[in-house]
Amino acid sequence: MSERIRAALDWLCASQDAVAGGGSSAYYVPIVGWFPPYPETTGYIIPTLLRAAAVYDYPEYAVRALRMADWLLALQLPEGAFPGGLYRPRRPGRASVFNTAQILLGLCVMHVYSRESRFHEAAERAATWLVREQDPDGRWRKHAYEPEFSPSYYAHVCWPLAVYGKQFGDPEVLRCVERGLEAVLSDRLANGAFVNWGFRPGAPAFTHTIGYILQGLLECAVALEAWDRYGAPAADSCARLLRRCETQGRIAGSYDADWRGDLSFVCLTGHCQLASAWLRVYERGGDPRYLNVAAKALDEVCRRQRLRPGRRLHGAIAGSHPLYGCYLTMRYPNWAAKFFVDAMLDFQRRLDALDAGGATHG
Amino acid sequence: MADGVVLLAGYRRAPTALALLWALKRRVAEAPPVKAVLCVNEFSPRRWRQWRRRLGPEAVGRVASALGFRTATVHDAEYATYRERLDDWNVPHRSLRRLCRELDVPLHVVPSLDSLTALRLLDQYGPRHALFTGGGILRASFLERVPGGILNVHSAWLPHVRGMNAAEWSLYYGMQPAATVHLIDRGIDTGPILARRVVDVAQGEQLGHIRARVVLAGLDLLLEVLPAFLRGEAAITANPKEQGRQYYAMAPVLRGLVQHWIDTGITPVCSPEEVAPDDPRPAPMRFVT
Repeated sequence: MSERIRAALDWLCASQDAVAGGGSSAYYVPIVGWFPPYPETTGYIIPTLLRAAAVYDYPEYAVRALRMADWLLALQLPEGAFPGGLYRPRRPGRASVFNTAQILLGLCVMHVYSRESRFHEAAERAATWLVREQDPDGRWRKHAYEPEFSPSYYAHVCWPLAVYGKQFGDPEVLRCVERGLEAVLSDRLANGAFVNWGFRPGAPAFTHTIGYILQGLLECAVALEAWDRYGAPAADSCARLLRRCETQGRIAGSYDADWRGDLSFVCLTGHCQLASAWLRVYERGGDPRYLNVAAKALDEVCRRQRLRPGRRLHGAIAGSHPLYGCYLTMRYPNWAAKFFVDAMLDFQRRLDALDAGGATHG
Repeated sequence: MADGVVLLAGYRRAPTALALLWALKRRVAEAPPVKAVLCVNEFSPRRWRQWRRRLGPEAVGRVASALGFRTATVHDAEYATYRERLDDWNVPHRSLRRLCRELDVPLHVVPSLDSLTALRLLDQYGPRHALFTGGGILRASFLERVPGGILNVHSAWLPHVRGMNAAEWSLYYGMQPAATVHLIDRGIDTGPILARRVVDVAQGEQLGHIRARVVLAGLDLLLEVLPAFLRGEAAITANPKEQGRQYYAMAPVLRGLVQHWIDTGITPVCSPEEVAPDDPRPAPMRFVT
């Protein structure tokens, strides 16, 4: 198992080496090659690398994470936001709520690691901007991927803010998080799905964005110690998804609001994110069915990971399987490897604990 | 005495169906007459989808093994155990078609147990009872046509562990594996319980071997309680749905962990929560030497 994690980490390192500056290339496309760095995903790769550095006692990952954070600081806009889209020096991107939040997560974790005030200052400016841009009803309608559309996966905006709010003891940020989470929960349907859980209004959601919602809610519940309010609804959605996946035999690539899945492809990134969400629910309640379904999801991603030592794609994970699937067609995104490493490390930790202590009837 | 039973089988070489049919015809004195065997066609696309769903990538090896092809899967130990039992009982054939022919029992291969063909056959034979050895989840239309009930052997102590890979999930919790004979209702393993029996586990024993021994212990138990049940004299225990959970196919990595525990003699401790005082789960697992 660790061989696959190391391969994915090596591939993330290669994605950094492939571009100048310190960021991580957004994706690799066969024949075309590496694409420019992606600030958003570079931001949330930082916690992954720092965690891997600690788990494997391999400081090079931390050095790389520091280079990423340095690169991101140079991109911060005067108002405190970070630009959306891929980094193109001659065509700077516009401020983006979602991307700023993901980078905020990286800055918070980097500050814990390095204790350097510049990361705190950058994080503070980003968090202040996010609070300022929030509408009174808890939604962010400006600086969105789709104009005026505030999707449910902004739960993944609340999570970095919650981390920041707890880390630096900022009550205003925590109130902003609560408003944001309430807005997300107001999108939740009786069947456990969410109204606006895709990239566009009314569109089916890739498991990638479903993972964003569930992880966002669950991690906020843990950070804010408010499981009943934010964690329990997400856990209920996790349970419904688990049942659907187990009875159908596989996880679809996307789901509509009636849980009708598109089984023509699988979204490998979403597999890893859902595995992390299920593992969080397992950790909370000890129900091994969540551990089991996470293991199956990760098994499938492991089967799809490219393992050819010495080759450019060694360790890479495609956006979709098959490669021509609907999500990131023909691309190997850096965030697929990132979420894979996160989920595998989560899984390994739980499995080690289980092996050491045996199972209890949870 | 009852007016006969119908035997339900998941595929044509199903060892439990072979053993049960042979026992009913040749080994049990008070056995009811077997009116027919309904066997699901393992080559139908629907059946293959079910196998794939249940077993994932192992489906090919498992099905090939069940069909009699030599395969090197983790289930070898399971099928070897079944074959031993069939040899011990001198069951002359390894296919239901041949065995039914020898025993003069009609065999009907149906696309699924929910199919119109299967339902018409039930109407035709009008059995009071049925014995289930496999073939998928039964729908209400099927259950309604068997008024006396359909008996099933479940590979765990009900009501605590329902669903698939029940023997493995019992071992995961450090519960002594057990077989339960129960009636099938509309839920998954939620029907009333007739009898339960625990099965010993030896340190280092293969999971497949344990699985098969649990199933065979259940088969023996079924044959023991069947006459009394058909006479209406069997004690029936409630199977409260809220006391158990439904489990799904166990992931290979967890199976590996459970096997590791068995190999090294670890018996995970199960806590007494969720156990009703009048329905204790079997004692935490102890290995036999």
